[in-house]
Amino acid sequence: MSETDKNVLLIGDELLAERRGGPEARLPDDMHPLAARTIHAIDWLNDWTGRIVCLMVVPIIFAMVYEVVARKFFVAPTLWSYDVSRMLYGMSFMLGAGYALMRGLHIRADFIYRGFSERIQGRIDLILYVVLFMPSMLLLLYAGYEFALKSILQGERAGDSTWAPIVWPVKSSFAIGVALLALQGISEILKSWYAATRGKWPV
Amino acid sequence: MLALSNEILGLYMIGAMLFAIFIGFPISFTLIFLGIVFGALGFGMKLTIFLMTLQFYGSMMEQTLAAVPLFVFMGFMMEQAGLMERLFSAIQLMLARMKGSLYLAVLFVSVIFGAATGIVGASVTILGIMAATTMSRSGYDVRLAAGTITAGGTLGILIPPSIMLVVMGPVLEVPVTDLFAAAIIPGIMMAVLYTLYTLGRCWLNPSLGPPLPEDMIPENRSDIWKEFFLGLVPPTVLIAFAMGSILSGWATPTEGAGMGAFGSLVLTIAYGKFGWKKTYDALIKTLEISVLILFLVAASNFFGAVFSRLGTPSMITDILLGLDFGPSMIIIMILTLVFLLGWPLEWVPIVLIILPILQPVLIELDVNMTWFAILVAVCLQTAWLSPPVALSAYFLKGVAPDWDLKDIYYGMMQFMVIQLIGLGFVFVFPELALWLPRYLYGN
Amino acid sequence: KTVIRVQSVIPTGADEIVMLKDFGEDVKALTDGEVVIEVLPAGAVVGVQETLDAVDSGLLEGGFAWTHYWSGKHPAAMLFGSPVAGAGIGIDNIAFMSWYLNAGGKELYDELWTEMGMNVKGFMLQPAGPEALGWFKEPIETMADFRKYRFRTPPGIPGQTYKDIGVASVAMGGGDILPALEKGTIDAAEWCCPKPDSVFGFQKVLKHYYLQGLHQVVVNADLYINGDVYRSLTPLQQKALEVAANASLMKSMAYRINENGIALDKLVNEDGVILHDTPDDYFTEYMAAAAKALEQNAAENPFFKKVWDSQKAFAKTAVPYWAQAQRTNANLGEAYADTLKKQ
Ligand code: NA
Ligand code: NA
Repeated sequence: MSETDKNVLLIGDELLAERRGGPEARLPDDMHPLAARTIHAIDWLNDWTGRIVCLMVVPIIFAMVYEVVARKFFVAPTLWSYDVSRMLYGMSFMLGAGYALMRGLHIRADFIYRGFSERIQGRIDLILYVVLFMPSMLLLLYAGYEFALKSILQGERAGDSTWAPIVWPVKSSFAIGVALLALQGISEILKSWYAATRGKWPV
Repeated sequence: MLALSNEILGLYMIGAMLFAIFIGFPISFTLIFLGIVFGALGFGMKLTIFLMTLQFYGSMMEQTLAAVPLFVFMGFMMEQAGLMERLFSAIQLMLARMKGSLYLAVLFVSVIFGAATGIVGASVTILGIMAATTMSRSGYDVRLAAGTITAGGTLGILIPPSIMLVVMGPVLEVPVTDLFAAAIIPGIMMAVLYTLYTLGRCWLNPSLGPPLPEDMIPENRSDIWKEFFLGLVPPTVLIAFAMGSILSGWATPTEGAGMGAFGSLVLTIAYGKFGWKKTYDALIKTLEISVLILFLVAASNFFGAVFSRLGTPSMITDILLGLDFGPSMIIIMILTLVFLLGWPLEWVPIVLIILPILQPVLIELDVNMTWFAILVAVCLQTAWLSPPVALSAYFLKGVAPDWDLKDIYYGMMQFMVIQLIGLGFVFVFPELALWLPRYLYGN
Repeated sequence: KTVIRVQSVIPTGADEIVMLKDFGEDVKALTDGEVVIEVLPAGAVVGVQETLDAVDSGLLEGGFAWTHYWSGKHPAAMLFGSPVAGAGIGIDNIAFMSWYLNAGGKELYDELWTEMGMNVKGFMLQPAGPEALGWFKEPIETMADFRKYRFRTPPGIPGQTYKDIGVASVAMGGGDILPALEKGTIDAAEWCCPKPDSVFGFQKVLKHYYLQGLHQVVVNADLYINGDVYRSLTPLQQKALEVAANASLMKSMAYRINENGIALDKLVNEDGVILHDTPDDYFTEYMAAAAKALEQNAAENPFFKKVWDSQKAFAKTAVPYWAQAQRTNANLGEAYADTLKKQ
């Protein structure tokens, strides 16, 4: 994609994907090498998480189709398809939350925000990531860790299904998902720092 | 410092949210942060973050929502194969000289979708994926187009089967089957009102939904029929897989979504459009859209839970009950309340918190609960359309990033007015809701 | 003044909530208005499945559900909330109360919450059994007929037991049940008893109703209060809770006999529902499979074994006597019910 094409795309694309970063994006040369390495490493981690987590839809499709066919044609419904589908769905959207942040996909109501210069945008983001985002995520990480640990130690099973599977994979995914979000927050803080000081987004 | 009751704190919370989300930081994180701050002020930090883990876990285990990634995947597979746009171009060709034909197409598909699922996120998303590009390319008015897609998508919570009605039934002690039967006519009525509105406006101002340019209208009638047939086959097959499996009773809505996703794979293979890379791209995009929708659902559930826990909804309700009015006035006031709460909240807390508190009063006033439930359902449809917590807008924005959120908001506002007109009809003519259940089940 | 906000797992209009509020009134009167039970609807603060965790953490002061709702946290919860097939040893709901109040059940019940690692104090409030076998599209004469139908089963071991005896058991969320029945996705389902079932609306879709079932022949709803909140009460207030809870056991049983009777009369005489007797082979097959499931759990979990052993010791003498007494009751009742039919 040429430089002009990219700008045209960005005009309408700002809200959702105002900067579709990612490990493939080249970071500017005037960025501190440590910052650049950190951003690259975190983005790489969440990118690969996303690439793997996106595959979880496939077994959900399989479970649903299997259940429908087995129940309809063989009067042999399963007890597992219900639980498998909801657990995989829940795990995928939490584990993918960091990936979505890396891609700039979490929705903003920013018809005021995008009128600002990139330097101002960077400052706003920098402040809010530090003051609003990181404390929330760290608190949640702490709570999520305890929540998951308790479930693992209890060997907790789902109380609202016949199959009654263990639920710690879901609760652990919540904690891991928050950890990935918090980690991505570091990368986003470094990117906003750059924008706040240099007046343009690094990626 | 003044002692602040939790109920008043909840009002400040709403106020703070209305201000904060427009700073432009991602909405999910803003809601989470405000939920934590106001929850901590109201009932302590420890309990607030614990409430949040519970709300997120609850959202993660909600099997009906598993239909979201499945319907999204189905939509992306169709989009990648270019099989779905064909229906719209086909209908556009069929009705080439008709103004606003794509509005008609969107609303028609909305009704079909609404009849198959009650999942607004999936409906709006897939309608957006199918129609937004085509509408943009054909020079449609962005606001009217966005309004049509978002309003059409919300029809799914009114037209049965509807998750909202299923939740509402036990709360109001009305059999869900009655609610399903009662919602059919109002649901179709809303679709008709939308159609009249969009086509009426196109008739007055053709630039809102232009007919195809002359050079794109084929000379040969058989071309049109061929295009129509080719355009119609994929959605028909897909509907047979997804909606067909649900309507025929083979599958629950979520399973039907899985069937649809599978059907989309079968179709791409049958049309020779299958590719590993394209499929993988569809999977990645599915994850992106799903996260964007579902993370926000979880975040707003948490925000709503804090608001409820502060007791503000109950306070608003108590004030209402303290007034000495007749049933009609009370119902109008309740609907106004539901409408207003629908701006910052989604339907779940409204249905689960407000309705149970009001139910005894309504029984006291001898209000027909089936009718009342449908009034609330029509009214709650606006909750999806009213900013700032207007999930429909964000779903659409997710799949139509070229469209400005402001334009989507303006588009939805128009349809909220129509929604209120429809609500007025059901209010003045209760038979719109009550005739069909009586006809089907006697009593 | 202590306000105990209790979140339930069912809608506000349900019978359980009526009786829970009645219990609250008793507590209020007994404590001179110092302890107030405020009932919150399901989902008011946390989701249904998260209620117990919320009470444990203090997010809610109290919660209300059936004990077996928490079988996922400890398998023995099932032995208190819905001991499958009468714990496999012939215990009905009244006999269960005898075990609970008179034969060591209460002490084990307190121990259950400790075993679960929950900082709560529980009170059994409402026996609700026996629950119906369920609703069917067509009549069933034998287990072979039963196995032809897709049956939406209850959660946990009672449901797994259906799978074990070859019933086509379907797992499905509560909200999906009625649409699924309407469209034939499933052919049969169970919920509870005549009153709640008619509120649920099964009679609109299915007409064949089987009252005699074993999966939840005993069902108990209970209240649990956050441990810190409970310990902050005065001894007199704690006693008031206990006395009101014991009264609630009897009051709920009385309430349900009357309400279910009225509902069943309406189902049969106005809604055209046909009552059937459950096939005989159901009882033998289900009992055998349930016993196996219970054995397995007892082998895996020492506390489960401890509770079940206590129930067995009780049943050894109590059940043979009580079965005789129940036969007297049943014969008496049926004799009168028959005269009503002839009129
Ligand atoms: Na629907
Ligand atoms: Na809204």
